[in-house]
Amino acid sequence: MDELKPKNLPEMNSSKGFLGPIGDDLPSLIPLIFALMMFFYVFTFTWNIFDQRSRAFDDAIAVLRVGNTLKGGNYLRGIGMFNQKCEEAQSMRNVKFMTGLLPLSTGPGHIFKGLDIETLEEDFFNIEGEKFICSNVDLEEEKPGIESSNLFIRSFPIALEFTNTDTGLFYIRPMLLVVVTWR
Amino acid sequence: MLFFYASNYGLTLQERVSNQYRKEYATGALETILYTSTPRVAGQSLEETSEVDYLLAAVKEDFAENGKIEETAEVLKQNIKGIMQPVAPGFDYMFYFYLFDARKFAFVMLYTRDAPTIKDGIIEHSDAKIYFCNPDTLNDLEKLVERIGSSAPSNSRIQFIEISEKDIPGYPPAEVNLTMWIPSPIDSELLKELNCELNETIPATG
Repeated sequence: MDELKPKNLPEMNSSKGFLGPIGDDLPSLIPLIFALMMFFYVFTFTWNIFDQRSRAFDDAIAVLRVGNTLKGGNYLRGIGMFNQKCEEAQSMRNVKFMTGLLPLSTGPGHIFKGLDIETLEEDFFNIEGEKFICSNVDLEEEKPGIESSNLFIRSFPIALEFTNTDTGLFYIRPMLLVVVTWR
Repeated sequence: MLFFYASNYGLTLQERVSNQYRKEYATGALETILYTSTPRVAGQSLEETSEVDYLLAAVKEDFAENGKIEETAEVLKQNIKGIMQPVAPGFDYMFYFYLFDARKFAFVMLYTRDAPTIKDGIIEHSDAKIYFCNPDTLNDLEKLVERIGSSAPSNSRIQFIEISEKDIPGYPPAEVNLTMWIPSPIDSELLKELNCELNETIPATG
């Protein structure tokens, strides 16, 4: 039988119309490609959401950390203690922050005006020219604003000691520690 | 599954971070209220007065007279209101003193508001109301806590001073509590049960 078989017949003749293992089954590739596209789309979407939310958590936690460092036991003895805590907070480098104190009114008829990010720096409380303000960036070069990315604002009530320079009267009044973080 | 994971990722953590902030604020506010000073002369500010005292000391002194917080109730309210004002647009709260031995409340202040209404497609916020309440038991107040859902409580222990008929001082232990929660309307029946009386109405701001 082997003798009857032509010797120099090309191999091609036995696989006529064969496009290859993938090309031969072209219709089955469509759902495969569609599935792959869906997978990579959802994968990218998930990755973006994961990244976005992780960043938001980092910022939300950072603002609490700055707040906790500065407020300590919710009691400040004065500007010296504030500056000391400010130095501690300045070691945090993963986020930019600005923080300071605003007076809280506890008398009748007083209304808290709210926080205005544009004027916050000027509004921060000062005693005899010494302002209760702390930041880990040079505020003359960069200030937080509504256009800042990942802007977070949190406030914490805190008690601050005072001594009236005229009468020598000692008292404690409520203040609001405002913490702003941005990237 | 990935899509489900993406849409739910971090929701619990987000809630926890928000709740942590509420707790931080409630704790800070309670401590600040307990530390803060008040002028001895009514109507004067801390800056202009000639005599000051700790707010808590003034409250204890008031309580020692007849076992009630009456004269200092308004000053205490102003302080609580002032310290809670920055978060008041987003939260309701209550503050109370509870005497363990006598099983009664010395002071209960409730800041709440009704649900917003929609008029011509615009959401109208309702006025906030401050009530002074006098629940009969701690269980009555727990009904309120159950009704409001997730809340951020902060509490501490203090001792009041009371003078008996034989002029012997006693130091009844008490709990001071500040709880804040996301605004949730409280029905009038419950307010009646808690013996609440309207003290002040604060108009909604937009």
